[in-house]
Amino acid sequence: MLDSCPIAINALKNQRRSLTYWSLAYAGVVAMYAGLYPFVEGMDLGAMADKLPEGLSRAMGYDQIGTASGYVSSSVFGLLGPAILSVFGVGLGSRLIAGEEEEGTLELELTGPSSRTQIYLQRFLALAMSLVGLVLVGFVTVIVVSEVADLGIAMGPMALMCVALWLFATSISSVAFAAGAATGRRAVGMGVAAALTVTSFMFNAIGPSIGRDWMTQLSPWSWYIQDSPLLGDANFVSMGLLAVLGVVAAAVGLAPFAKRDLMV
Amino acid sequence: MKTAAITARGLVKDYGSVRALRGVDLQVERGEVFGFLGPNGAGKSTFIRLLLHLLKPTDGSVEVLGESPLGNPALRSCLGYLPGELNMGARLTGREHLTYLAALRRGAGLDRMEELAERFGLDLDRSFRGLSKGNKQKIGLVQAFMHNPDLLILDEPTSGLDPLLQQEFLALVRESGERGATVFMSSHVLSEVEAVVGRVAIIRDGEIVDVDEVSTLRREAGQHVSFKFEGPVDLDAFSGVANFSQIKAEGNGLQGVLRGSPHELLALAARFHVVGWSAKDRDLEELFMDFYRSPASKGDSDAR
Repeated sequence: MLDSCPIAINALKNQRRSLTYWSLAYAGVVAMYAGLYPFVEGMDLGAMADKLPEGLSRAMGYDQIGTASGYVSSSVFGLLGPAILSVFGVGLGSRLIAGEEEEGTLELELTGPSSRTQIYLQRFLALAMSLVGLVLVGFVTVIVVSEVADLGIAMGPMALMCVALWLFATSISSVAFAAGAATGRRAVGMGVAAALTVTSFMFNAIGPSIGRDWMTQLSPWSWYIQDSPLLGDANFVSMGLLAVLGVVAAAVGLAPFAKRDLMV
Repeated sequence: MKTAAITARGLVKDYGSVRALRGVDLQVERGEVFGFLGPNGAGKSTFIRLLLHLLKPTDGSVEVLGESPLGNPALRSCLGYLPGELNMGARLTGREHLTYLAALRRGAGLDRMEELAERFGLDLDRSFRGLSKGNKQKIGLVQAFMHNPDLLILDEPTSGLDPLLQQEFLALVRESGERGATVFMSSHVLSEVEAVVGRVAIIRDGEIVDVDEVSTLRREAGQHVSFKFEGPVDLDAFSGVANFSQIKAEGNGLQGVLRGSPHELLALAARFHVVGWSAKDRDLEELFMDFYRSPASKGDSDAR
């Protein structure tokens, strides 16, 4: 199976150093936050969160912060995980075609006997697999910390949580990848993805408070953050929406990339 | 009968409002070693990128080995391409890059990688970014030649190579020509490729201004001829010689460019007292300068 995707493998190899650094950084941050739980447990965060208006506390994911799963859900998966993975994924996604085209490192691949569709799909695969790698690093880190610090985090909900996080990060990164590949400009890839992320964040934050449901219905961040699989609220419709966003974005970028002039 | 290696008909390429190619017609036959010459920015790389379907023609058509390169990736497995500016992933070694490029061609050429690397004195185990320009160029040459392609498309192949490696490169081109491959190479310096090419096309400002045998160009480039006479001479007498131009007189000396038979010139000079003379082949670069400077045809290329 690996032999049939040489382009994806090579793209991953090219990123191996950066992937290693991101993995280490991500594991470190996750371990630090998850490992802090025993120390914050006594501070009774749950009671503090109870004092917030219920809507706000729920929007921030703090309503179950008093439990280990709730704490990990809101700190690792409600903030740091998606932030780190989005920054990583958008950077990588915009680099995998647009960035490499700008640098000229794509030229010999494009002038070899591979079709542009193969190059596009395999490089997208490399992006998705890189994010799988990082998400797995986070999964393993949380499980290890949970064992060591006796947090009692269950494998099943944790796995589902990681799938949701992967879907969120991949969908945003897919937008960066596709916009970059369609235009050949890395900055466009990053810009479009950043605009989408910021907008979806704002929609999620202000939609409920001004009573505009369509805002949260359209916000990928809402799809991801509203229900926490780690707390037993896996929402497969939302996860499906994230998957659709990722696939549609990737599909939309393919045709322009296959047709346009490549300025390697 | 085999089709031509490269056929371009009325090929036009625009970048936005800038016209990079203005209707190029060119045919390169199979087995030719063909030089594609022009100054930087004349459209050499644009033409080459159209052959590889990195770009699409604005108008006109192009065929490579008898097929259109548009949406035809399989065609590219018969090509070897050296980019004008080679860049590759900085952290991978030459071996990793070459193995990968061979894998894209289903392993073709892997067996020649070591041999070619050795020939060029290339260390395959250093990462790409640690390599000098010349060493990067060697990786480019190895990947272009290693799978014995039917058509080699080389964009400025000699840039960055020292004279010794240039000789090695030219030997490789000769060998490829001997096994029947076609070599299409661009350069802005003719003298670097003169030794191996048969025909050359000269491109200037997006148009082909001349296609000819190198030997014909060599003949038409003419000779620098200079005389030294015992006393002052009549300049007007010499300006009457049809194939003698760019005449300059200085004291008792006279010089100019002679094309073709020297008979008339020598007969005229013999009427005066000649105390010294010399004739030397004109550098082909000077001829190209004539082409580059003006959109002239070669007949009046010495007009200044």
